[in-house]
Amino acid sequence: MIDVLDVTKRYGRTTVVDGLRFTVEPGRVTGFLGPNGAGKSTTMRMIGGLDAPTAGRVTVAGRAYAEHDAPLRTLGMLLEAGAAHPGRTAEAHLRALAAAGSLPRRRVDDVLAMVGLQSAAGTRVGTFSLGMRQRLGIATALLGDPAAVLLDEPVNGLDPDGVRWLRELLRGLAAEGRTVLVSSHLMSEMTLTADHLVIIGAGRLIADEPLEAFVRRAGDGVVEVRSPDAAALRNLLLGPGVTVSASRPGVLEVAGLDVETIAARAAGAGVPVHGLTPRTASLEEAFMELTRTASEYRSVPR
Amino acid sequence: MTFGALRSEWVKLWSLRAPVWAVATAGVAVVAGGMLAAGAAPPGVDPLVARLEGVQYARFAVAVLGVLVATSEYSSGLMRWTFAAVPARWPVLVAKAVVVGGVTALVALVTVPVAVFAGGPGPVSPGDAGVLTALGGAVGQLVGIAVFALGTGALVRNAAAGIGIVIGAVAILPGLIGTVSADAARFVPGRAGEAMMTDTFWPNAAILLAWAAAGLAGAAYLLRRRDA
Repeated sequence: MIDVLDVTKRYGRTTVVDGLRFTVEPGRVTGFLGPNGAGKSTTMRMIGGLDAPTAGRVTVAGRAYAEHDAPLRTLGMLLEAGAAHPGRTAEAHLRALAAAGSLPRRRVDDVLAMVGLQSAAGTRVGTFSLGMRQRLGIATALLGDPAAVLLDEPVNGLDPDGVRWLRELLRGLAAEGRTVLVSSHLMSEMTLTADHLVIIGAGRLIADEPLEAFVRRAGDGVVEVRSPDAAALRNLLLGPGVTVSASRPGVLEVAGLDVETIAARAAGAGVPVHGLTPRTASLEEAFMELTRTASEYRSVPR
Repeated sequence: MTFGALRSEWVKLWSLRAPVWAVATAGVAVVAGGMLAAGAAPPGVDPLVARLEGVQYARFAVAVLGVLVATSEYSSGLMRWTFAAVPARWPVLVAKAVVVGGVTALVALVTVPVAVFAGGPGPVSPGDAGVLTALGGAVGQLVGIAVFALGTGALVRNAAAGIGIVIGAVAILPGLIGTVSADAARFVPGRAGEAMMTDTFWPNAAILLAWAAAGLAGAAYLLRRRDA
């Protein structure tokens, strides 16, 4: 369990994280979403005790990260791809960190196998592809067999196979009862991986809700109705607060009425209806809409 | 936990090329520099001084070693993971100082006696006046400069700046300040290090030690305060 408690982080006059408060529960994958520059990485560094909050505090399993006796067993972090010295082999990199964290030597082999890098163990990190470095980063995060895992943009650089592998890994970690927080700036990836979403923009909390709730909210309230007698149906449905438009022949877009009401009216009047579909905006669009007002680095509309 | 930090720094040192080269260069410089200088020294030059000439070159190698051990970890981003493993942070610095100082001491203990006693004309024997001070001073100087360089590297977190500062303090400032005041120059790391060999050991060792300790203490303080 990770508790971010009213955390604010300022660098000089710039406020990067602004009164953020949320809890990451164990046993599920929590997606940490926000546009670039929203404060995700800063928040993650504060959870891991690397940056100090200007105000508020962060606890991991009830205590500040630095107060744990075995910090690497409490929380494992992937903060940026390639935070290993390029001149060191993958194995030496992991061995040095295992020693620093007083972890048994065999964990090095365990995590190398877990991420599929056994054959590259003796290779210098500088020759790795971005995807291999990302795997090494994930191996480093898992070194302490931690109860909580924090991964900052782990999908970056992974090929499609790697993305699928990561998805299964994250689900597996959550199924084992671990706390899993994964950041991304891509909504589409999170809808495939996350059970719960924490969305921030410009350092502030925008949403903290189950994935399904977000998906439901993402709908824009418009129902598409297909009917061979669209003109008659249109007259049936029009009323105060209801707008009906037709973009294609035989298809009406109805706003202001739900599916049940439309179906009942059509049935009552004997107008045939061939399709009734609530329209969902794409999740990516809904996410962008949600963060647009808060986004610091948006492009200027023409 | 501190033992783990020590083992970690030991693994880190030997798993990169640059520090291994710096250690090897220091050893070669002590022996080869001393032999060449002793062979080329005109009559009348103290054979002991000539044979310690290589130590002066080895100072640059251990300066690079000390700075790189600190800065390469920042430049690669590895420091964040190291601090995640050791959140108290200062044990990391202590472990680095022990490993850098220890390895430098080991190399110096092996190579300095070789440079002083082996071969060449005008042999020096262990019983001669000033020989023990010179040996101890040579080893102590190299260790002191290596640790001073480590602290400086951890303070500035940038290899070029760190090496520049340490080389300046070792090789340039003593002469520069000496033109103004010889008394003041005695307190510069480079001059104090030389005087450990050629003059008296302890007072000069104390000066160099103070520099090394100040660098480490400053780095440890900032380590606590700064975001990693």
